[in-house]
Amino acid sequence: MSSNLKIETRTEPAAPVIELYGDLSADGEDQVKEAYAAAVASGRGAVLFDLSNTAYINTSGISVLIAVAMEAKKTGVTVLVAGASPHYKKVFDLVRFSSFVSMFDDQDAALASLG
Amino acid sequence: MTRKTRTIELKIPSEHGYEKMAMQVAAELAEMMGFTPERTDDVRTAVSEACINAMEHGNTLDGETKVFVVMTAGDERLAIDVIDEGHSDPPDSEVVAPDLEAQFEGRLPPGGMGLFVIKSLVDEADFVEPELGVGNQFRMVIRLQGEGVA
Repeated sequence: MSSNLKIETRTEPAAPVIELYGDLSADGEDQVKEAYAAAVASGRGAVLFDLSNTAYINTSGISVLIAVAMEAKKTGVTVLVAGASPHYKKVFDLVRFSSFVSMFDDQDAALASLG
Repeated sequence: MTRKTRTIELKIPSEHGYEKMAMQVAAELAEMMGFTPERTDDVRTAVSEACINAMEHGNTLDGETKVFVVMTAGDERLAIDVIDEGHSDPPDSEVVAPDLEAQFEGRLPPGGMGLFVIKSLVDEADFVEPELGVGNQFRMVIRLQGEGVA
């Protein structure tokens, strides 16, 4: 089954924002990595993933975000995540993802944290 | 009032994405049984992860294989069995929390979270003796008055 993920990226003054629509799973890995690479090329030191419209996230999708965050760490880029539903926030907390990547309720809060 | 036990059976291809079929049916059933929206979300994620494990490990993503999902709704609990075709043995029943520190540092590849998440979200989860005599059978039980994770 093909990926059911759509990605839109826009640039805010503080950081590029990558908005994920649909499913975040292993099938979307290449799309997410390509979007991250394009966003980070803008030269800002942070990238925000917005999950407000991500209806389905599985642990393979969380692994995709871990892989991106690992890559970001190597190059000194800060990855932030915003907009996860309360259920998925719980799952991110369970696996301790949120101990390694800053998570916010929404885009505004995330972008404000960057000053 | 005592309700009759009802069983729903699904057979899905071992291909990423089809776990959502089982997930949606399980969620509908949980809602009909009176689970809260929060517990229904737990059921949704647990079923999705169990099906993915069955596809990837038990069936090694072989497109010719199927994952069987049997949902049994009783008075006070929902039991969900996820059965693969046994291309590999079940993992150790002892499940530890994923070492994300090692994953973020690149010492371990990302992954290995599914079983831990399932066990955290449902009241009971373990491999049981396969009733068909072949394959791996993973059983989850979610009680209407269960604890879950807040």
